[in-house]
Amino acid sequence: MWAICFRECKDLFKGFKPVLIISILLGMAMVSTRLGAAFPDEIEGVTQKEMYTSGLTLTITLFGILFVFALSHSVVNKEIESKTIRFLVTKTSRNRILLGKFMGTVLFWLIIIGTCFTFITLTSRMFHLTNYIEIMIFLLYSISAAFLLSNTVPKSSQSMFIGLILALAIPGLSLWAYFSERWYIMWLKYVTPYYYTELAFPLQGVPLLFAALFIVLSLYLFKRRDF
Amino acid sequence: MPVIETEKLSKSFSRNEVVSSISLKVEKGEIFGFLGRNGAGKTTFVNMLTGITLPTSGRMLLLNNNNDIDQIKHRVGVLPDYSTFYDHLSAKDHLKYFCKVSGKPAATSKIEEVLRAVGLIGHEKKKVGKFSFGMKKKLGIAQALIHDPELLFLDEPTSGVDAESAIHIQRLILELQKNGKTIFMTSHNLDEVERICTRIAIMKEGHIHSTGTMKELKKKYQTRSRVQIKLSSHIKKEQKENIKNLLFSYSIEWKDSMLLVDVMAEEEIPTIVHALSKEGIDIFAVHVHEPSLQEIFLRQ
Repeated sequence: MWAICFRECKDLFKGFKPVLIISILLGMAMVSTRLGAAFPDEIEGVTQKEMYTSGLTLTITLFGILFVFALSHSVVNKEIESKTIRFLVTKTSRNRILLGKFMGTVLFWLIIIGTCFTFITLTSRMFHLTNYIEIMIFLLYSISAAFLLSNTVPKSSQSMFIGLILALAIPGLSLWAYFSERWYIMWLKYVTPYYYTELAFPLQGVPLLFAALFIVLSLYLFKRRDF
Repeated sequence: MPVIETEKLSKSFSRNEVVSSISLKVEKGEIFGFLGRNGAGKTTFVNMLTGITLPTSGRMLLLNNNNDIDQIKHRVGVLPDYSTFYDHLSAKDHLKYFCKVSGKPAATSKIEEVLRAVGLIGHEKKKVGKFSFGMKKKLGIAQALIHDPELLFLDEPTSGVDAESAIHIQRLILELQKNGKTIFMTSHNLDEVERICTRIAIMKEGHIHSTGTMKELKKKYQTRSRVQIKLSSHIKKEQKENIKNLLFSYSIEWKDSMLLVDVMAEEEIPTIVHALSKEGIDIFAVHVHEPSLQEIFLRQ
């Protein structure tokens, strides 16, 4: 499992897309730390501490799902398409393959977000643990959703297309659901992670339950598959 | 105790039954050849045994482990029918990775030993994207061997490789058998199967049509053997006529001084030789041409 985890994490750092995403996140982290330094007092309910991480939080909130889906929409189906999965499936259990890939993707994001927070910590001289956990909860939800997508959609070209539409639609629809009283849309806020970020602990962790559900569903589908 | 045992193993895709209720036993140390025309269900059967495909029904027992393939994957090596690799990785990186995935340490000496065995030494650092089909096939065999498995499944191990490499692979398979490994292989190369396999199963339309050693298969299908008897070059016309009368129950043919007799069983050969000697006919040589697996296979 660990071999698959480290391979997955290493492979995620390759290519143009991760470089772009890392640059955007680090860029936003830099901008927000400057904001934090420039405005030492609280502005419209945003504390100075929050200001340091606001850029990163905002970027992840708006584009986090897009970033994760762009990198991981084909995490499973690409290996099935290329048939390299046959080598893995004859060497270890299907659970270990999927969990290894999941942990590799989580490790990638832990490193990326960890790097951004290290930079923020060095600038602000404060460690923003709560924000780090909040962002990681949001990303765990997104990663497990990407895994479910990659397990459900057989072709990587299709999962990229569907992933892009979902990644752009989910934030907008969630915002609409958050403010709407209409029955046909308001339920959506309970199944996406945005609503829970406003709540206090332990309700903030509800997206983790969804993440667990997505992973269990992915494992179920993956175990029943012929390669 | 059998290393592979299946009981009524079946696989259907939608309503199409590709493998129908196959019961089979393979003993330790065998090289078991699995034959069949394209679409007979060979690969699907192998894929079920190796965990690539899930059976629709039936039971299988590999290395005495009931149904739970995950428990014995580290003891089994598989060359799948269609092997593609990670183009950006080298042969060495692949073997290192697959070794770790199998839960075994990736020792450099072991990697080199396996690369040497398959004839890929010198190409270990080359990206697999630049490999030829034959080289990929060899790497496929290498990855099946890297974790030192007891049981090997090789799906078409020599298809698409040049003659020299095919011979090299066949020798390697025989060497592996000598080292106590059990090999289950499918092949389209009937000569190869005949030469190296200890037992053979012929599959037809999802069923096992026949199983056995070459000798058993020949007996089962009562295939005739052709006996070539070299007689004196001065043999006379009358003598030929005598022989024809003597062997009236056999189908015979003449090729100059060579007498060709078709027999059903090897046991008939001494009787023929004895009858000729009794007539005072000198016999210079006797050669038995046994039917090839190809001849048996074509009669299925």
